[in-house]
Parts: sequence; structure tokens; C-alpha cells
Amino acid sequence: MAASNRLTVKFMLFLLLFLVVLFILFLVLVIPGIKEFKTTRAQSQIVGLQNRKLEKKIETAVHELQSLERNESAILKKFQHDFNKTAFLHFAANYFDRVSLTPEKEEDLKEALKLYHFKASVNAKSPVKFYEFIEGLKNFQGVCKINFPISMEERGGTLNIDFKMSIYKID
Amino acid sequence: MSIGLVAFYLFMLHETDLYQEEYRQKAQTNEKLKKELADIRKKLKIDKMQISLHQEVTSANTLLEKSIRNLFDLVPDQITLKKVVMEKESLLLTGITPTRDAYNLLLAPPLKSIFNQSEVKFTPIGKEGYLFESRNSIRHEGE
Repeated sequence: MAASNRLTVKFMLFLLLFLVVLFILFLVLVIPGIKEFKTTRAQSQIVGLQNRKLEKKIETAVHELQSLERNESAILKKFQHDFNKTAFLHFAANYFDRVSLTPEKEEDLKEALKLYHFKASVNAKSPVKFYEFIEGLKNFQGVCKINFPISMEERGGTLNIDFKMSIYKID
Repeated sequence: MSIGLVAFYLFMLHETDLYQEEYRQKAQTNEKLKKELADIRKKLKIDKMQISLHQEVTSANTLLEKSIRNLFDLVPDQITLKKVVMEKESLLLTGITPTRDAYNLLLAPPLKSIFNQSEVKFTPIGKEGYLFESRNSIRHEGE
């Protein structure tokens, strides 16, 4: 009887020890494992969601860019044109009897934008030709801005006009 | 029971590894997408800047053209201009006027309505009248 009781106590002690080991295993391995699993899964889901949002934003931006490039292609092409002095002189010859163009300086502006400064000197029959030239710049292949100072002087029956101008270009 | 627990733990490890790999791939895609979006937005910004700049240049040229037209419209038939120098905020006119009054009555008032500082010098040149040199400028308060 006593031997049977001892065996029962031993068994109970082993069972208790087994349960303690099991509990420790559960605490040390399984709970952190579940936590890590949940964290990793949540991170993956969050990044997946961010990617879907980014894809939508890209889709919208691409659509806007394509639409802008389609509708404003004429303007955007003007900025891509390399300034061609011969083409400019040819264009200006439609308005003036004599044209001379002297490069002054180049300037780097924001976002790959370059600005080329020139000094122009022309002979015209009347100021009207100068108005027409400025108006005609809308159809010139580049983006050209007329700047001050503008000097107009009558010399020997012809009008000499000196002015500054700048050409914008995207590199 | 303990074997079941260890098996469950190993299963969890395996699943965690799978999610970690999936996370790494998604994070790489995320970086690529962010860069792609930034590039497109930059291009969009540059395009918009060009369109706005083109508008500014066109407006400035049109304004300049109108200013020159208006200047010549101001000059009455009796007065002949010889030289015009236009700056952003100043104007120099040289020309011939038959009389001082012709200048003072016909050209000076419109110039004074545009510029708050005007000076004129007359030099007699015989029968033709006077050679005038008119300096006009806009002075801002405090200058």
C-alpha cells in the first residue's frame, strides 16, 4: 500500500514537472512566436496596402502627365528646342532689314531650366515692325522673352532698335 | 502534447518566415513605387512650370508690345521722336517739337500721368523748333 502511494506521489510529481516544462515552453517559445508571426503578418499587410495606394497614385499621376503632355505638347516642345541662331535670324528677317544677335550669358535656373541672354540690334522700317515681331514670337520655335532696356533711334531714315532678349530651354 | 506544442511552434516559425519573405518583397516594391511616383511627380512639376513660364513670357511680351504701342500713340503728329529708351521704370524721349507749348500741352500731361518724375530740356534748333530731351521715371516712396 505504502509502495503504491509513493508511486502515485512520484507520478504526480513527474506530471507536475511535465506541466511546468510545458508551461515554460509555452511561455518562452509559443507566445513570442505567435507575437512575431502576428507582427510580421501585419507589417506585410500594411506594406501591401501602401503599395496598392501608391499604385493608384501613380496611375493618377501618369494620367495627369499624359493628358498634360498631349494638350500642351506645342508649348513643351518649344522648351526642348536647342536655340538655333540661324533659325532666329531667318525668323527676324521677316520683320527687320538687318538683324544682329550677340550672346551675353547663360544662366542655370531651377529644375534643369537654362536661360540664354542675348543682345539684339535690328533695323526696321517703322516701330510697327517691332510690334509685329513681338507678336510673331508666339509662333517662334523657342520660348523668347524681350527684355528692357529697349532703345529705338532714328538714323538716316531707318529705325535702329537695340534690345535684350532671353531664350528659355529645358536640358 | 509537448511534441504537438513543438510542432505548432515550428509551424509558426515557418509561417513567420513566409510572411517575412513576403514583407521583404513588398518593401522592395514599395521603394520602387515611391521612386516611380516621385519621378512622375517631378516630371509633372517641370511640365507645369514650363507651361506657367510660357504663359508668363507670352504675357510679358504682350504687355511690352502694348506699352510701346501706347507710347507711340501718345505722341502727337506735331512732335517727331528721334530716340526712345525704355527701361522697366523709366523712359527717355528725344525729339523735335515745333514749340515748347506743343510739348507741354500735348505730350507732357500723358507722360506725367504715367511717371511721377518728369524732366525736360529744350534746345532751340532754328526754324524746326526745339530739340527736347524728356527724362521720365517712376520713383517709389522712400527713394
